[in-house]
Amino acid sequence: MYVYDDFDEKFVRERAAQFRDQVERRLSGQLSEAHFRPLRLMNGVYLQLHAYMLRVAVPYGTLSSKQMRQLAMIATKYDKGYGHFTTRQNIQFNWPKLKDLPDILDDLADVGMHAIQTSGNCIRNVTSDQWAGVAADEVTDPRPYAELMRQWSSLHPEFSYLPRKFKIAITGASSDRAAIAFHDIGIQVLKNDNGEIGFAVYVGGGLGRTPMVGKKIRDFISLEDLLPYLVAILRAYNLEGRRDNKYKARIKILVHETGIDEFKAKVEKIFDGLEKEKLRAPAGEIERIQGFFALPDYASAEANPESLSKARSENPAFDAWVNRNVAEHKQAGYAIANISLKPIAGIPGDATSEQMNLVADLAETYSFSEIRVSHEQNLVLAHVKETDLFELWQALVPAGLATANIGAITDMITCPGLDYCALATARSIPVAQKISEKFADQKRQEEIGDLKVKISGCINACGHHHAGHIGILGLNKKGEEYYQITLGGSGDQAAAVGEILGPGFSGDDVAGAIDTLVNRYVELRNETSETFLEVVKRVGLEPFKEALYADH
Amino acid sequence: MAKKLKGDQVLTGQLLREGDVVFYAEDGSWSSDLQKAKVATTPEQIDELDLFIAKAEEVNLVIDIYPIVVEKDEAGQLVPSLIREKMRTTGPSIVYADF
Ligand code: HEM
Ligand code: SF4
Repeated sequence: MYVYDDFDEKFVRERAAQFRDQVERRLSGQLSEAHFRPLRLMNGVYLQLHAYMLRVAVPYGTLSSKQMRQLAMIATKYDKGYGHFTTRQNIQFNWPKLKDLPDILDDLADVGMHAIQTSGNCIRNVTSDQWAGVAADEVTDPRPYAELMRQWSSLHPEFSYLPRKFKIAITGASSDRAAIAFHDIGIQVLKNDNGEIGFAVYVGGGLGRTPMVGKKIRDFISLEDLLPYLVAILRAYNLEGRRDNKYKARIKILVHETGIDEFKAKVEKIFDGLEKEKLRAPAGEIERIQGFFALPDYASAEANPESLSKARSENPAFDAWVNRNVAEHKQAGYAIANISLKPIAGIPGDATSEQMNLVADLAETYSFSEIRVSHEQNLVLAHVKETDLFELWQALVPAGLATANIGAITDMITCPGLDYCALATARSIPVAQKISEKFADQKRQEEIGDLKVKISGCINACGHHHAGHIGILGLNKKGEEYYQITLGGSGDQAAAVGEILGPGFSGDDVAGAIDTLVNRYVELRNETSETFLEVVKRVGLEPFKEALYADH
Repeated sequence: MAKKLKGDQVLTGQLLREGDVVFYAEDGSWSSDLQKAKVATTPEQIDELDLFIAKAEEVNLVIDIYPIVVEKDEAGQLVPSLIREKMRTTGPSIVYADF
């Protein structure tokens, strides 16, 4: 895992001290709310519907056991004993008090964490594949490059006041688990024919009120030119992105209005004029960073051990969990264990302090003290011996952490919605809970197969609903919550924006509507392996509309 | 005021130190109990409340102060008219933190 150098350490400490002073001045009245607001936002502190909210960065979704324990401690000491893992691989605390926030930032700094650039019009936390480094389908671990970008983008003087927020995601795998097409910049790590590392770069993707799939701006940029190329894109955006209208300020609008060809020409022109030598990472830096991400010292471990097959055949619940939640690992004898934060009828992404502590302990025992957060709001132990899986599962069960639903219909991304969010138009969590209850039956979930349902409580689309195979958007009509359903979205390598089916549904009727759609899909598919998206592509929306609205 | 609201109104805000939701009460304090809120019903009272916002913010105890429309339910209890304000008054509608 990456460990802060002295510069990072000092800088995070200084920022915490500054914030302490700012909070003191705010509480004493020396700073007005108008002056203080941007300062608190620079440190991840929002004012939400019922309380302040603190968003803590988890760079590229990797945490140590020690960091996770500290998050649990913060949740217990200053909050209500839980935290919420988000689609940006961050964690949010829903109830911190302003007077405690300086102490919280100090506690975070103690474990090399902070809330800098988790808000505001700057480059946000760089996100990545939660299976980075261990995925069987990976070219190389993308996190060293993510870390390089973190260092480069932290307090970047030129890019601290962009027209709007800016989100970068990077994957090193052929299956995109980081939704790179829906980011301002999406990066895919590649290897060319000479075996050299480089990057395909996409630009102008995004969700929100105008969802757009990112467009490719470069097929292959070399490692040494990655940072200069990012500078060129950001400079083009910083100069020409709209500042007159918040809703048109994201780079996706600039790319869309300019056209990708013209935008690319502008970027390339800036790129050609750059003094690249000055912008490149110093020689040896990437190797230095890579050192921190070296894979752990795997013991030689038996692949497909007898004990595992035996435990699976004796425990159907364990078998279901292995089927759903365990993924293939690069290293023979090891596995990726995904921990679902989507218990049936629970709150997607929430974890109690006890659960966080348990996961920290289990990571220490079974997975080299390392934990990942996924953009789908789950946790991952990335290096578990196959021979340890059964023990791990047995420890997860009593904590409510063994739900066997990764990638299944009850593994929904859900934003906080009107239960917490000041911008919401409708609640998301209760809708997710009802859907989860409706599809609770494990057998039925397996019959349905992989299916991504994503829910947002307003048009800002924090819940990725545009990218859901089934997307649900909560709106407000004449004072009542109602929900619009979209079909055919996808957040992976075949990225697509879902299409609206028709009139919306009340909160009580959404789960039933999803049930109808899923039944229709099961009827329509030619074989069980034909996915929901394949069926939508083959038959179009009509049969689904008929099923939903025939008797309305 | 950005827009004129229709109906009986109370002032709400959040405590600067804690963030808790509060309502401006009859007795001039800020209470977490909506039922204690001072209700403005006439245009004059409503204007008075609006004018009070800037002054109240200067006191530096409560932030983000704004008026909301309220009505009385069958039991005579004050309830906010908008769903957002209902949620803000009652807290999350889900069971959280002890699952
Ligand atoms: C609770 C306080 C939150 C506020 C005030 C907030 C605000 C916003 C806004 C205004 C946008 C639209 C940006 C635009 O289109 O320019 C947005 C987008 C987004 N937010 Fe949030 N959000 C919140 C919570 C969350 C949470 C909990 C998550 C993760 C679960 C999240 C992840 C995202 C993502 C993924 C997007 C869409 C990607 C994009 O185009 O930026 N947000 N948010
Ligand atoms: S989508 Fe809307 S309701 Fe949901 S968290 Fe984002 S801003 Fe809030």
